[in-house]
Amino acid sequence: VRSAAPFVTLLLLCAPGVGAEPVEAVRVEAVPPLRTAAYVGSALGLAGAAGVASIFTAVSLHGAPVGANGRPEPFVTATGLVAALGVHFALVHWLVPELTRLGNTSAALGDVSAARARAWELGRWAWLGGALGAAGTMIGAGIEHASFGSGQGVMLGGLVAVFFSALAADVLEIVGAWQGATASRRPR
Amino acid sequence: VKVSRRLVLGGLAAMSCGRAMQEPGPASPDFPQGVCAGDPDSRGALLWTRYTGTGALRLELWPRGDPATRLVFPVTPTDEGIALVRVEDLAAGTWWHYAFVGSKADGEVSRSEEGRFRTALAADALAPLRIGASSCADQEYPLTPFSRVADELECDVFLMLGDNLYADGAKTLDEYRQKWREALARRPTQRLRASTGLISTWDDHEIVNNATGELDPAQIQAARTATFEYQPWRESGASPGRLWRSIRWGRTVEFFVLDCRSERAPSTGQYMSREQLDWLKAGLAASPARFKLVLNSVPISNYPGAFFALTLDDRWQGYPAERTELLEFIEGRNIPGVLWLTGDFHMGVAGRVSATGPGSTMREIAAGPAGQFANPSPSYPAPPQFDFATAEHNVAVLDLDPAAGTVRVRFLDGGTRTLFDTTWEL
Repeated sequence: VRSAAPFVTLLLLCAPGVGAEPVEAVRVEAVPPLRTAAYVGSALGLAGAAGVASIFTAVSLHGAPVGANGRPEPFVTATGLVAALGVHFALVHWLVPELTRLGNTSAALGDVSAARARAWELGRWAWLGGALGAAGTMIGAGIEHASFGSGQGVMLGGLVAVFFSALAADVLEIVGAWQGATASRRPR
Repeated sequence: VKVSRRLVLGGLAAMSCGRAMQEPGPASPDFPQGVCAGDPDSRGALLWTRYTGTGALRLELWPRGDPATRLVFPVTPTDEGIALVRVEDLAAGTWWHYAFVGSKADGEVSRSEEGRFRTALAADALAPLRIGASSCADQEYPLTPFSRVADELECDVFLMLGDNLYADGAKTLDEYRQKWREALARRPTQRLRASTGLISTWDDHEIVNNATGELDPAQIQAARTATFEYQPWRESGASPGRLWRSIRWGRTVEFFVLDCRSERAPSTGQYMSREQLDWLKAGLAASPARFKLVLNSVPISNYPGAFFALTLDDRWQGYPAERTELLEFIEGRNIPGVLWLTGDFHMGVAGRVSATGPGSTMREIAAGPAGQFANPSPSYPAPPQFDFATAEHNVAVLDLDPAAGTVRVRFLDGGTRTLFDTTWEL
């Protein structure tokens, strides 16, 4: 996580709409700190669980030909990485904004759609980086399939790109969703 | 205990007393780690057990097919219960059976499992041999390939190429001993060790993952002491505790057993000591054997690709000066019949040492894993450098034909399948 921090910071600075102003000049109750903490904790937990599910997906697919034939197939491993990224995206992008409901109180509530929109606004480039990494892994698998040892570097590069992109996407989705929810916060 | 010709004759005399003629019964719990015949040479072997009984212990030894000719030797175990008998002056190239027997005050006996081994061929003999080999035998796994060897094959000798147990977490002598006791309590391992003679080396997991000689010397010494206690290895008289050694089986094969761990010094780029390297080169050059099998616990093959580069510093490839020196020496001298045998990789592999350059004329077999998780690389070795690779739990079986100069190489799984079968000319 530490090594991804500069990348995340850069993306945050470059992303449009950070600190978007409220749409209406209405006094809205601020989110209580405990509810903020509950959101952050839950979102981090969800991201972690999504990571575990993703790894499980990738490892399961990678291990299928090993179990069947005693050796892996690079294309299957690369496909496993694509599937893992898909699982991670589905869990994080669809569920993290839902967790912004933890900031709702009897006096005010945020808009989950706005949270998801802001999360996507921030996180999309990281997701794109992950997709490119997965594509790189697939290309590397093709090279490796043709000649042992020749495509592993590309596969490894793609794998690293997917890992750090997903990590960045997690952070950006969590930050973005909260920004979107708080910015759209309205009195009940 | 060293048993020489005099003791063998004494044993013959003891046979006549009749106590040794009792029929073998089921193995007693007084021998919880089974039996083993280590480092068989043309004169005998080191016969081993661990005895937890309280009565007197003896060894019974008889030639195959002639249980009436039973030699009996008294044995005194160590405080740890280790009983090690060096039997000498046996006929070369012959099969022998043995069992340890404990006597109790009430006349009852406790009997170990019956083991067997073949003495090495006579110095000038040239005959086909069957060699089994494996590695990476995590005691937490089923180790089914070992059971298959015991059930189906009669190997003239079996080679364990390192990671013969997983002692990770141990640091003191008592902890290493406990790990060995646990590992050798597994029935598949006991059955393998009882089924034929054993020649073995060690790798990192006998000490700790990725061990080198730059670890805490006390820890290495504890691991070494426990390993020597539980693996019957012939110690060099000049250098007690030295692992590297060679054993020749006639003119068919000479086994060169390397220590690829405890002399390694990454800080100075040393893979093994100059003494060991020079010993290996001289031994290979001087050996009259048709085949030279090098028990090399970590692969010397060049594995291309980024994933395999991640572990480069843990094998020969990360020490190119010594690797090149050795391979160029063998190829420069045109030393025939050198076959590298290795483990460590959690992957059975058969192929050439290098695609091009030094080592391209030589072959290496990575035997095993007998029981470990699959090497996690998303791509396994493939032609043209490599003929075969598998993560299935396996043993390699080599049928050496010295007259033809060929080695039939088979990989067998723990069930009924032959995973790979080819014949190489060496």
